[in-house]
Amino acid sequence: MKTKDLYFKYPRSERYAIESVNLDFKDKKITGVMGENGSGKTTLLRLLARFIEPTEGKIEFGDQEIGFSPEDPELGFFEKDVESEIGFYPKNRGLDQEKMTKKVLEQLDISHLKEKLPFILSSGQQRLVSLASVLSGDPDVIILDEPTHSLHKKGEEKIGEVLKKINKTIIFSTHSSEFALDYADEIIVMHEGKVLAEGKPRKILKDKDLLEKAGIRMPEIIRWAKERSLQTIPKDMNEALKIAKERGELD
Amino acid sequence: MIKISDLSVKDHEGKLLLKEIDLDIKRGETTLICGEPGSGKTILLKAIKGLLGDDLSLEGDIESEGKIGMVFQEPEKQVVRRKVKLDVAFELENAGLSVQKMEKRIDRYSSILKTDHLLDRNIDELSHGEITKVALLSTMVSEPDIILLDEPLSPLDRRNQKLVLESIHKLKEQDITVIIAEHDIRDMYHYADKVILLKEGKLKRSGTPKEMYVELVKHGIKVPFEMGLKAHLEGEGI
Repeated sequence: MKTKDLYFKYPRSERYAIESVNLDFKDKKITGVMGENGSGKTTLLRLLARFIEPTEGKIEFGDQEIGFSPEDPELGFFEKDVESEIGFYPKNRGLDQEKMTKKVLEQLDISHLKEKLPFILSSGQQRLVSLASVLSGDPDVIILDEPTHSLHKKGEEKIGEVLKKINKTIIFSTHSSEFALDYADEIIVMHEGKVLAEGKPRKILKDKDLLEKAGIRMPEIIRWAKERSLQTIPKDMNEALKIAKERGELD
Repeated sequence: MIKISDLSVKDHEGKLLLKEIDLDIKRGETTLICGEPGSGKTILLKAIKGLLGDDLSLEGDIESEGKIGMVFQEPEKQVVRRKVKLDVAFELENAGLSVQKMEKRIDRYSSILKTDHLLDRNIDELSHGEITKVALLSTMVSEPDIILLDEPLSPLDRRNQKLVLESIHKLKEQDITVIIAEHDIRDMYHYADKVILLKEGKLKRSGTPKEMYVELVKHGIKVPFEMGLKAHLEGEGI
């Protein structure tokens, strides 16, 4: 999926919400879109999902099927129970509804919710159901607006592991630096409708000036390593723990 | 300030959403309510505010002193007017304040929250984070004694998070009782007085942040990295 000189302006607005955006999303890679509130993340995702048409420029995506989960999951719900909600997309695409529904319910550990009305779930549970409703249709490209918002750490990890495993082209927006660091292959930083930076998470998320300008929080593990002037950033909590022990910080 | 005794909430099918909660929150305290999705955080806040729907039944007692304000998880749903300033003035108008007093009140709190640049804008032009700030401003202008915040930080970028955090900190200085439901307490850990952990509608444990961090990590709540390391070391956490 590619964008060429993409511009978008909302009706009655004087400024461009998206301006001069040229991006090349690699196949089967996970791309995280980050940036402050109002920087154009959601507008970009909605353009990519073809919910809105560009004011100028174009998006090339071939004949790929695109699945989208909105920032407010309730906006996408219309069925009487979670199972039907998740089953709608595969049914619509002529896939095995029962098999696909069962698979994603298990993948995301939400089988216990299948008879519930989607609208009465907690916001974290709704987030998981919304993601499941996209995964069940087995689209080629998956676009997720803030997929981990309202989720605790375990929920974030669950979603991250599932996204890694399904081996698809995935584009998500997030404010969670930890989620982007752990699960994105590439990061795009948006600022005032433009692309401010793009690159590998470990490079982008340690650039203090860039993060400050873009309103992004530095991941805790990078902050911790920087405060100790460590040459390399620990891979995970276990490695950080080992370093902390060697430094006698936990005695 | 808030005393909850033997509180249970059931849905229309009789399923318990909150089970026998006992809780004491003192005036001026900042309390964090943590728990996994569906553990009952939002229901507890709504019960305190007296906002449970007709389909839910409540048993037990909730006593509170003073006026309660609340910022909802989806603050766009509490916005009633198109223009920000008019929306913020809504409750003050209902309380019968003069235009002059309203302006003064709005200016005061808007300057604390740094929302002056939003006042003349239309709600539909604002981002999710900006709407959260407007909802917090609308709550603050009516000067409540207790403020309930349902996940106020997660939709916000770092800059806006810091602004909201500064404001929450100011509420504490003004002796306002603050109760916040959050699953990421990294920024609030050091100045919260109390943390309450809910699990499947029950009060699993409560205590000071220092007493609670191992348990919190175990339940997937984000705590400051250093505390996460300590919890990891104790081997009980992850």
